[in-house]
Amino acid sequence: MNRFSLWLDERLHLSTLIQFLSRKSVPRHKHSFWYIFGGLALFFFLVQLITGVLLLLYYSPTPETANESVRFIESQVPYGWFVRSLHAWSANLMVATVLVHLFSTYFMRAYRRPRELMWVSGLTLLLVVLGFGFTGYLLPWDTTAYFATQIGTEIPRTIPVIGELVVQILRGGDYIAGESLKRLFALHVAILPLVSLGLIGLHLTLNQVHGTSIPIGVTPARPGIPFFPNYVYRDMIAWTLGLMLLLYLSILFPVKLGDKVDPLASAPLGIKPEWYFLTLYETLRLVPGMILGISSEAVVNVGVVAVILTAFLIPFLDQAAGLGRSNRLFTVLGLIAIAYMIVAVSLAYLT
Amino acid sequence: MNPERHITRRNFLSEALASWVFITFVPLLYALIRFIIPPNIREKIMEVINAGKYTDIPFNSAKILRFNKKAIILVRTEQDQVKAYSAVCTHLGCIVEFKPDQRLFKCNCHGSEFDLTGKNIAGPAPSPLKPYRVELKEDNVLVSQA
Ligand code: FES
Repeated sequence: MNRFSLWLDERLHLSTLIQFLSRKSVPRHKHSFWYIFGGLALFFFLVQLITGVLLLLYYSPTPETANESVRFIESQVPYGWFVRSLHAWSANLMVATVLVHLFSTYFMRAYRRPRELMWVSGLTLLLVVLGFGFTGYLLPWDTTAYFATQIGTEIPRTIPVIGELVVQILRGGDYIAGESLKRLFALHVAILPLVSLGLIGLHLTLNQVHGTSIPIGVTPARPGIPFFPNYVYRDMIAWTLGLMLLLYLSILFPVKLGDKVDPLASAPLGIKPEWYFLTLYETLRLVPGMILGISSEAVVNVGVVAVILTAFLIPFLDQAAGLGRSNRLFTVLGLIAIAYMIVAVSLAYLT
Repeated sequence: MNPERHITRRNFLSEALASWVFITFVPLLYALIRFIIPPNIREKIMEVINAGKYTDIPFNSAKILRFNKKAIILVRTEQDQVKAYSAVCTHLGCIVEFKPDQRLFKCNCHGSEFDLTGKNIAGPAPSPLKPYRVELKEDNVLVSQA
């Protein structure tokens, strides 16, 4: 070690950390590939953090200026279109990788004892990521986003007792207006980032505490992959591929800004939320307006809450996994969830 | 009180501290939650608005405007008749559009349709569009609550 490294090490004890990381190893088996998606989701999160902070330099969250400021970013700021595209595409890729990571850990039963809290923190992170998508959608203040957010914030109204209040809190008033823009902006750039940083910290710490889970019935090859530097290199390769895909999408398909909101114009055709909300969108469309005198939104609300609660409880419901046996029922449930999402999203695109 | 229970200086202090934190924290939390809920600002409620000359709305066409912050749609159904409804779709709140060829209101968000009496006739909308009263006074369209 040179003198500077020694100086640094004396203060930061980095060699202890490196020793710890090089003793840590990642299991090597036929499903190891899927481990890469957690790190990739983190990568896209970091891209969001950087590009988000950059966009903040020019963005202005008022109904009069929001759309113009985004147009200014796109047309006047050097590489503005590029940074905005990176932010939009990376958001999509982040949701996609989080979903892949979630389902792969689900099928590998990585949630089983003692990693229940990793599952809970991961699932909460998925909700936070969706929250980022929802709150960010309105910020350019264009017509599609305006009506999509109007619909999205109307859905909670049917929740018994607190529904009305939830809508008011989200919108900052009775309908989508300047107050809503400010609220969603605050959520998007301050509240959700703080929450997600805390949750990511917890999730990664738990990952260090428990190590990587091995799927039931799989005997990993010995020795495992040393975390540092071998696995870190693998992660870096994945991150580089992720970056290439992101650059490809952002340059070839830059996102387009829609027309500025006119609150007195009829909703145009083709109002659709982002793809990751299409499952909910299509479900709302397929369920008839009234079921036994109850509005479809109320029915869908109850359904969504039930699904989310069940998802949180999976590690506690799947007792067999805790004992090292895999219960087919949970595999089937996971497959049904994926099939339903694919069918709903395709229907939403086709019809 | 249980005579067996021995109060030490330490557990007295920790219980006192816990109660103090609780007593301080609850009102603080209440204030913060109230802060998040938007205030109900009372604005002047208009009884009637003048929506301009009815001849400005061509026959079989519509115009959307605000009445007490709510969007309403005026449609000239006959040469000398104008009707007014809430323009907010009763499904999830998009603004409806008047379709002159079909003579109905359509919501493009999920395809609900309402006839010229405001009745929901197709799509997921659960109830009719709320009607407003229209009066024609010297060619002016006066709109008020029904
Ligand atoms: S909001 Fe009008 S049909 Fe859904």
